[in-house]
Amino acid sequence: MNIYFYKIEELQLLSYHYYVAQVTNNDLLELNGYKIRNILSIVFDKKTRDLVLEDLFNENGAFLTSETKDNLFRYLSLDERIDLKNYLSTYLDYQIESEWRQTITHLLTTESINTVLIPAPILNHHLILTQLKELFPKRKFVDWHGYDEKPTALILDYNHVWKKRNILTLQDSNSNAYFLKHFFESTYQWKTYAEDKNIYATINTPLRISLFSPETLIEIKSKLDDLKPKNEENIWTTLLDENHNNMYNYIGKEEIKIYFDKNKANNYSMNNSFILAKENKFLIKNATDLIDNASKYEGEYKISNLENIILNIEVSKIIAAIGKDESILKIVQPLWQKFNLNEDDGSLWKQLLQNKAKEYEMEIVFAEIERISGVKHFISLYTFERTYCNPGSITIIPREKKVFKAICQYLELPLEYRAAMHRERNLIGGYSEEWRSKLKSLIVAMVNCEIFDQRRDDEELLEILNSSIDKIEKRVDIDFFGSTRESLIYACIAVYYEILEKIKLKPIIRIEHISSN
Amino acid sequence: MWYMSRIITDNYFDKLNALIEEFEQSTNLSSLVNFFVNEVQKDQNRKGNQKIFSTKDFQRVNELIDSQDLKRIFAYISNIVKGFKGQYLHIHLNVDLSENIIDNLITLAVWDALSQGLYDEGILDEQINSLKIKTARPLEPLNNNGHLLNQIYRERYGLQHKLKFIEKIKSIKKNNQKSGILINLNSSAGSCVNLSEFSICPESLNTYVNFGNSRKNIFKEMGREKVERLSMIINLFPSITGKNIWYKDFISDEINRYSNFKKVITLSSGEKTPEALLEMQKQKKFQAEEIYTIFSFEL
Repeated sequence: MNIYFYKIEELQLLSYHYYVAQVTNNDLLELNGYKIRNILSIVFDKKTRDLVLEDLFNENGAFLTSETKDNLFRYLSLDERIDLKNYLSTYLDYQIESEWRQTITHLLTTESINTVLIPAPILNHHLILTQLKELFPKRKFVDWHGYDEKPTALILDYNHVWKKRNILTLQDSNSNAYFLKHFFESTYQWKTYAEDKNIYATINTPLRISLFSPETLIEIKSKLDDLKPKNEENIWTTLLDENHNNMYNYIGKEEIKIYFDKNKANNYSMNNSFILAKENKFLIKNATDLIDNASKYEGEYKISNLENIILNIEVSKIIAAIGKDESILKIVQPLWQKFNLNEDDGSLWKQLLQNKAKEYEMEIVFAEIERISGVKHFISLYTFERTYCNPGSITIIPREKKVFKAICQYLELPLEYRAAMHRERNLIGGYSEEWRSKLKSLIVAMVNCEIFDQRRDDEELLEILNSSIDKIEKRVDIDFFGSTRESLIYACIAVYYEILEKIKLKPIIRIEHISSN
Repeated sequence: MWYMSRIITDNYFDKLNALIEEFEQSTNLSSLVNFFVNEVQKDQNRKGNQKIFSTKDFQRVNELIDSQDLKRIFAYISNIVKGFKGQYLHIHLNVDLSENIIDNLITLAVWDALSQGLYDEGILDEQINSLKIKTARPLEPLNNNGHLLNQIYRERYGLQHKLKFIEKIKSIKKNNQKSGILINLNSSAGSCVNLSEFSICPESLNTYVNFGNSRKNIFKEMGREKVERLSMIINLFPSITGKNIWYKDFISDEINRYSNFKKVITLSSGEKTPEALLEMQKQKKFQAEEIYTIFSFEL
């Protein structure tokens, strides 16, 4: 597929830049989002311009989300809105006066293209679509969902994210794409560079290097470097990418929709869980529970999405809380001195293992660990040498607990050292999906133990945690919360205050199940 | 197809093609493929309801011989497995392959494993003798019920086929491998080829093919002694049914208890964006020493 960018002269973009500045200052990012840029791109004449502007600056318009409309009409004065509209209108006049429309018409004629792919909001806007049909007679208009890749099309709706198809996946197609340069060129260049960069990082692995030779990979890297865009990455690219993604990949998903008042509702995916509260009694329910028993909760409970709470929790606070339990560190820290090793040279256990391997033979050390652990060939000798006996390797501890236990035993390292290393491994992944899932289990356990059922001061909180910690410990993976009961209590305290700070309970007015069927 | 990268050089493609062209399917595997092709083709000539293989099986074995895509993927994967010197490898096919290709790829991998296994000659002979006795008995139709007759014939053909299969396994040229391979298939692979006919094989071979839905079956059914004789595990496409948690639980928590797996290979498929692939690699979710991603532009 050929992708072209049409350039409008910089001088004629002045009004657009003013418009963007106003949009940014007033935190109205959607007004310069990819969706709106795509809509603006199909303004070829004054009638379409007026129809587009009328929808954009209208409280009942269809192009903007209710959130943006709310901000636009509540926080901007009438004069500010008129200014914003005028900037955009002036810019659009330059666009209309440019040869943008002639360029499109020329391409449609010379390439005999009958299908034009336009933004979905335009396809659904009867008046604008009628006007487009007049400007480009005898052409079929489709959006991304209605385009099945078979006919050669002219693509005017920029989309690099839709999982089913997008401008990057259509590279083998005979279709053409034309976009306005100032709207999309930089985004496209950086997006394709990022894709290539990710591919290079994915293929640059030891096995592929050995199969294809280092020179081949060096050649690819040099090609990648040559493709790096010369201009700086536009800040809007990163700002808008998520919205762009949500817009195309949202359709067809199974979701739960929860109304907090008559008009305000949020959609959540089906794997979400929720904290519910009624008269200071807290519960955790998943989306299916809520849908199946909607009448039980509607009008009765208040609700907050658990995944959102977890995302907002400051992991550093939990890690810091766990760190308050210094019982382990007090034992571990003097070990450096005991073994006369330096912390900067890498993990203690790996340094010790490396020294053992120097003192004896690698195979002997390996066999000894096999013997103590009772696990024969727990890893290949090659990997053992490359990772376990190499203080510079990134592995924190071996995959299997009993192998690490055997190594510690062989190296005469105390139990607390093992606990400390487990703590380090689990906390280093503090932002990972796995850690979030462990945190979720902790919150669920705390809710089930009624920790949140009343506001408590520090003393009361400690009291109930001390009496519930047995139950909580059984339901969570303690290795992820510092490996000791004390550190788990510290983690619970931090989680308690984080939840109270982050939870925003809203009344459940109505629950809807949304599915593509 | 996802993104056709601009960075892949001609030199890279030349090396890839050379690697694939140089690959030669083992004589044992070719012989096993031919065996099944002949068996299924002969079976097609039987009367309507007396066939032991379906038309789908017939189409499938023909695709096994004809499909260039399949040959290329299989050759590429075989090269990767051979080239890997560590213990845990995850190969991800970043392509939405057709169900047929996946099924055929699994079939080839299973047959390749069968052809590499080390067999207990005594048990094989016992099976052969027992099947010879069963197939030598004259057929005794109880009445003229057509449905029942067809069933009796089908069972007899099934037993004869099983006999030939075990004789085939016995005749396969021995290689130097001293232990078998554990192939751990996802549930949908139960339909990959009509191997249910040969479900007694695990009892007689130390190469074990798990067709069960539950990973636990493998160890429970085989017993520790047999598992310890296996040297390689191939996990085929566990992620295709969304059960990618399998690998993590299964490999790290259970397989590690058994000490002698020299190679653990996991194959998964499904198209991800380059960004998602890199994320998968960074997260080390599968705890493999290396994740090798095969891109659609390589196939």
